[in-house]
Amino acid sequence: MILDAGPLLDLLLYRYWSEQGRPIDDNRLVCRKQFNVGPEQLSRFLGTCRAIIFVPGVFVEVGRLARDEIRRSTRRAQDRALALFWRVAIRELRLMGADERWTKFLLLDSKFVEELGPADAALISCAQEAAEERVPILTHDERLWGRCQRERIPCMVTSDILRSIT
Amino acid sequence: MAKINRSERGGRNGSERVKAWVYSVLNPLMEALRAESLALSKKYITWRYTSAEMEFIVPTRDLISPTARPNYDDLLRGYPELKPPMLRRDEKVSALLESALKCWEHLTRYKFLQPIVENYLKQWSEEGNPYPGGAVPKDEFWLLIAELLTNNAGDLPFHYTTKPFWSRFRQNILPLRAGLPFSELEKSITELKKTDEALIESLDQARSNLCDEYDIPAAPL
Repeated sequence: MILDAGPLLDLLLYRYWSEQGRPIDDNRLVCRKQFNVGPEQLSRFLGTCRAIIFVPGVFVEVGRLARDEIRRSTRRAQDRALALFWRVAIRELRLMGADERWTKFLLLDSKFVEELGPADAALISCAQEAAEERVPILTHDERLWGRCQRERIPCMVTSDILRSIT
Repeated sequence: MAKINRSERGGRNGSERVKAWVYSVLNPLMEALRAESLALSKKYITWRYTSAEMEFIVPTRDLISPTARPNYDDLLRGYPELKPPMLRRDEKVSALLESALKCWEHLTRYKFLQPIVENYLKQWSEEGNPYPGGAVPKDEFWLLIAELLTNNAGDLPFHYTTKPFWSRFRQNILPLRAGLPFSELEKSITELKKTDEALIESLDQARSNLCDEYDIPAAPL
């Protein structure tokens, strides 16, 4: 499974709150708000995947989104909260055995960069490189999902998780 | 008309300073201590094998964001009644760290745990299961298990590669939390939890007093 920023952020926020013993407010997570998928279901689904892959570009988005979320939820004291978030994030990625794949920006398909931005273009490039393994992208982004369908690139939108675990 | 003690913004003089105490020190501190108390009730001490330290259980000042620490220092000057319960907590944190280090030494120094874990790992691999340590190097896997043992870990999250291994062997591994170092650890956990709860009460009382006195809300609107 190649993780896009949305599901990855939800998983990391869920773990960040859990590690600190804070109550989990599902409604702050897009997977719950938009797709009715709880963070435990997301975790359970990822636990069944043969491989978890991420591309570094996704972390730029995760960083921005995490900063916004932490700013909203803590108002102040962001610097410590963000430092702890990243500490938890690195540990989580290690313990889930995530595999980091590099994609060179200058080798990305400019058609995808122009249309979807560099992070999504990197996800597509990674999925194309892993074509033989048929590793799908997991995303909250229905636009990316639609584009992948047209290009016959394996991709799941987060609500597909419900079908795969029932 | 007599001039009353009001700042230009209309609040009582000093209310901005008090808001800084409440919003950037007292509130985050109470939240962190409540989370800590919950973790301690599960005997989870946030131990990390990579640093041989407790990740989230730290001295009181370190629970505050670096940018807000001047407000913390100012609070202790302006409200010195809070200093003794904070110092008491810091002493208990040090005592817990010391107990945890003794447990860690007990588990790792004489490598009594290492052959046990490696035996389970061998059995696991011979049954055709993939390596359960994620990105943790193979020679550190037993240390990861020692960390779980020190933290009295229950069920792990589903997405951890270690989950199936831990679910299978934890009933054999967790009973190794025995002996003098672990009974000392349990005692330190109980004492810190008690001190945390007393500190939360003092902080709550202080917030209440300050909010009443300066007519400010307990959280920013």
